[in-house]
Amino acid sequence: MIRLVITRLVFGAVVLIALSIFVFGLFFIAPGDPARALGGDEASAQLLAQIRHSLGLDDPIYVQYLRFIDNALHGNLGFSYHSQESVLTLIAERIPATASLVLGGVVVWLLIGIPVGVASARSPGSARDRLGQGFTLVGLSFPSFVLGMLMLFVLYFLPRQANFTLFPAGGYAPLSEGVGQWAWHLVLPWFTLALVNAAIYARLTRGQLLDVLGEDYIRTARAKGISERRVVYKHGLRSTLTAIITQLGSDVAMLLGGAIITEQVFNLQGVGALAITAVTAQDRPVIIGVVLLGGTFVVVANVIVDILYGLLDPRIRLA
Amino acid sequence: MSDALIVEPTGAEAPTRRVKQRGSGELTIRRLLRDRAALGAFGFILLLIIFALCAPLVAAATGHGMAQQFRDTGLTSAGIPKGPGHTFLLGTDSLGRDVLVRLAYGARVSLLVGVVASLVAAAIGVTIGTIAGYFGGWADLLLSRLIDLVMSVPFLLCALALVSVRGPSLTLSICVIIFFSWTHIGRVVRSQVLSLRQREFVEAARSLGSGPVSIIVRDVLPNLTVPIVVYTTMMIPSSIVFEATLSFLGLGIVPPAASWGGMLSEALNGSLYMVAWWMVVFPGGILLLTTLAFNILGDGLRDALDPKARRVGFVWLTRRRRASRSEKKAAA
Repeated sequence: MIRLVITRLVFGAVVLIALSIFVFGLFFIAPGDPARALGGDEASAQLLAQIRHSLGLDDPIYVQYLRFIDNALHGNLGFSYHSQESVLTLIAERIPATASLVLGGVVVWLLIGIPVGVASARSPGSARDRLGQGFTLVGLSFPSFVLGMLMLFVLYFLPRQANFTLFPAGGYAPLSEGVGQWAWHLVLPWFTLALVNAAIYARLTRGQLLDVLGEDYIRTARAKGISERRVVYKHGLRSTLTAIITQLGSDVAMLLGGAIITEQVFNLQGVGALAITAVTAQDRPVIIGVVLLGGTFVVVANVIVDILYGLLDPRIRLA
Repeated sequence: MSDALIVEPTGAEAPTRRVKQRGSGELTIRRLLRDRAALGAFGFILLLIIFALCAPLVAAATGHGMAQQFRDTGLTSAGIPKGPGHTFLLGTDSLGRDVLVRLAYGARVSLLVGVVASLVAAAIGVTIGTIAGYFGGWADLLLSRLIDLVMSVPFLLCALALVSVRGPSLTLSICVIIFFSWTHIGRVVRSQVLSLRQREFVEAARSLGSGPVSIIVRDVLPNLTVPIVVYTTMMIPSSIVFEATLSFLGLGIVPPAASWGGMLSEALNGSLYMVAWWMVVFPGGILLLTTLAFNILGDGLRDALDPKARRVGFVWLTRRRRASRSEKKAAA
């Protein structure tokens, strides 16, 4: 168990190093001169050289890279070329919006996905199962930005035309404005994010549970006279949890690095929106920071998932 | 194997029914033809392909070019796009371009990217999965870690970084999609090969003196046709959505070339779709139907190719759901 976590941590470090080399190298081979972008077209050669020197761009690439890593390990991800603000601050400002979106979305999609999957698996082939399958199929096929625009149109614009504000057009209301405002602004984004993922989890739950319900120990549990509900939820669902948690860990981590599409559709100023702005403005330190942050989330999530495995499955804990 | 063998009645107790032996290919097609949902999906995909191929014809028939702007006839005096009507069957967009013509050209992009990216990604995934599974040891360790590595990269962010550096283009979109898509099928193939290489027929081939390449090509891969076909089909809709997403974020197909994702992004721009619903409904609808069709087809193919496997996927609109119900009754 501890060995597993250590292996994961080492692999996580490798992932982060590979990722940092990838983004760093990407910008090194990139056309375009950040000094020129900062200094403007009128800048003299002397000024350009000065900018390059102050950014450390005139050093060899490996020196730049090692300096970056050194700074990053000391909690300094560099400064935005445009706003001159610390990248870490810029990202930290955006985390609440993204975290609110993702964590709320996770709750919604688990609350939809798992019950739908369980209902399907309990009576495969039934009308209920077919309904669940249809939901899964449509959910899996729905591009999330189409879904988001559809929601905005039906639940914001149409009521708006009738002079009735059902939901806001978008934007993020921080918790300081009150839980009500916060949640009200996030309902549509939550469901946009959740419906597609709920389909994935419904399918996963159904598949796993169908396998588990055929096991001997389920028959034993039934033979003991335990209620069907308890058999399914306590004995059956528990062993499907490992698969669900694996999927959940990587999904949440990927989204925390920026739920880019949902943020874009609902104009939420989260990490994903920051990434898009940085990409459009060619703000390299910010892009590198966001990518590495996303990678860190994934690595941390993998370790957490491994620890949860141990808690859920005694076979792993004791091994 | 697919020759029909007719058992001739013999002697006095000749059976009245003739038994016909059918090959696996014939059986697969018969199963697929019974699956109405998959057939419908296949029909839709065929129509879509024809629509894409005929894009220049659509442009000629309407007299509207793909990127041609009709600021006088295509926009109202207030500069707002016109809805579906006589001259513009599916309406116009913010620049007065014909939505129908752009949909047709967008279909070309989506299908091209979806199919090409999926085929190449499948080829890479199968190659790497086979090598890892068959040779094991260091090769397996290295390649499995590589798969883990690519899988734990936040792909949309990396795609953004890459596109921001190289500038958006069709080729780059395809490359990005391939790079992040091959891992899943690679993992599946690896685990399948891992168990196949222990089987007797592989041992037999080896004892007859076959080399690894020969065993892989003649004995192992033919046994993996089903998962490879199914997973490749399933990869097409995700590639199409991936491309649409990139274009939606302005990082895919370069305007004025048409793509569905780009059309949707134009509609979102300034919330224009609130007044011009057709700018969302048509590209969004066709995108949804396309992914739906490929997903249904993939499920149908899996059921038809591998009838023994427990259907974890969809039992939707097919006649065989009755069979699965009685199966369950028998099991209960």
